[in-house]
Amino acid sequence: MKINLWFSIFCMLIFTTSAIAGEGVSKATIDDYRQAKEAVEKLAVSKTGKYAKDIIENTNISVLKAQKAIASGDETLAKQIIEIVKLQMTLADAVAAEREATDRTVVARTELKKLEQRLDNILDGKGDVK
Amino acid sequence: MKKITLTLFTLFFCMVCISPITQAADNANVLLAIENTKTNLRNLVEKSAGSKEYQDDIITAQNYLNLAESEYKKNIGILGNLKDEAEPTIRHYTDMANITVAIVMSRIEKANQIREGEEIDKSILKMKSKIKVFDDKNAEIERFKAESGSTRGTMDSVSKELVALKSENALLKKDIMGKEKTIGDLMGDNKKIKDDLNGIVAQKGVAFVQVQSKLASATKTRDFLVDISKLGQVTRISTAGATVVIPRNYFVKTAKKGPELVPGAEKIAGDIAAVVTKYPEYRLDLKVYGYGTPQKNEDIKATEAMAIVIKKLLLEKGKINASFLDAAGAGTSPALFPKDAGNANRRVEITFTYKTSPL
Repeated sequence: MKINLWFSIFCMLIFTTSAIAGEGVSKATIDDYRQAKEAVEKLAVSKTGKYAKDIIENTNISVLKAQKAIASGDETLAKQIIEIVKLQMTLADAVAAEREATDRTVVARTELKKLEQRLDNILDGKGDVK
Repeated sequence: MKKITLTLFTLFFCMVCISPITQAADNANVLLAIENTKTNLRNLVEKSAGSKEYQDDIITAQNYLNLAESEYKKNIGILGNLKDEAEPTIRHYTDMANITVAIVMSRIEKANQIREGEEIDKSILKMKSKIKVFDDKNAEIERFKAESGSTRGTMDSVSKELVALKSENALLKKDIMGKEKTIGDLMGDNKKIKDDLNGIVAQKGVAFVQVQSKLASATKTRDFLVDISKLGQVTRISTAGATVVIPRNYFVKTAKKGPELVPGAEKIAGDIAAVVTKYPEYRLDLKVYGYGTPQKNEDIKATEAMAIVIKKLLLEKGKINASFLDAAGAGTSPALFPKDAGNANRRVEITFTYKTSPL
């Protein structure tokens, strides 16, 4: 019976130790988190936020996850999520640049189509309708 | 005590056992995530087409995938179950790999868009260039139209002016034709007048010549008569000419041997010869007249001899053709003067006769 009692106490200690481990997230990780969060906030109001709003939203979700991980004292998870957040910001920049380029291409294509139509009209003898 | 121990154990068991149920690793889902990541990575490699630009990122993604697979393999249990604590790490790696892949995909897509945009920009430039050709042509056409409009205005003005000029020209032509007709008529009239005038001139010319000739002849006759009168002798003028009556004793006297020239005869003969020389158109008829007695000195024979002497003297003094000088003795022909005039009837009459009568 004593053995069972001590085993139970041991297990409880292990469990509780792991449960209060959140208080043990390093300051460096927390700083890293804050920097990442600020960067995401800045990104959200920049041109990237306009073009890659969905990615920013996902990144914000990741920031919340990191916050929770820190709150729960899971430094490893927190670090992983912060790493994800940073990568998502990079992704947001890349997607924003891609979409901006796509928009430009669309605008250019539209202009090209208009010009083609103008030229067709001219060649068909319909006159130059600008 | 037993109850407490049992309760604690049960609680622990629940904590230990329930936890795996709620956080139990879903082996299949983790594998699926790994496989999806692999697929994404393969697609990325294909899309990058070996471009060195994305190689580092691809390697990074590949490393994340390798870490995920490695973590998965490390945490597979004897029964083939994945350990619970491994799943977040594996998912972290697959997420990292997938995000990296997405980043590279975006960059590739961006590059494609930029490339396409550049192509489109080139096409736009070409299109604009083509359209500009037409725009320029249109502008040129508009310019020509404007110029044409201006030219048309000028042409209209010129046309009106031309019409006016044509009208004026027609009037002028008509006028000219009228004037030409008038000129023709006038020329005809002029010709007729000229002809008439020529006729008149011809007629007048003849008359003038005749008048002139007559005038010249009359003038000469007058001069002749003046010169005759200068001889200082009695002169008898007739239509045939003029006769100068000179006392016979001015020329000759009767001597025993016959008639002889008296002094002063040569002077009178010279004066008469001068007149004859000046007026060669006259011929001379010389007649010597006798009167009274002795009869032998006054008869024809005696007067004939006197006439010969006087003729000879005249021929000597003047350049007189002998054929134009007739000399004869008239004897005692009827007296010219009354009887009481005595010897005045003894006379020499020299008649100047115009070869073709001028009077």
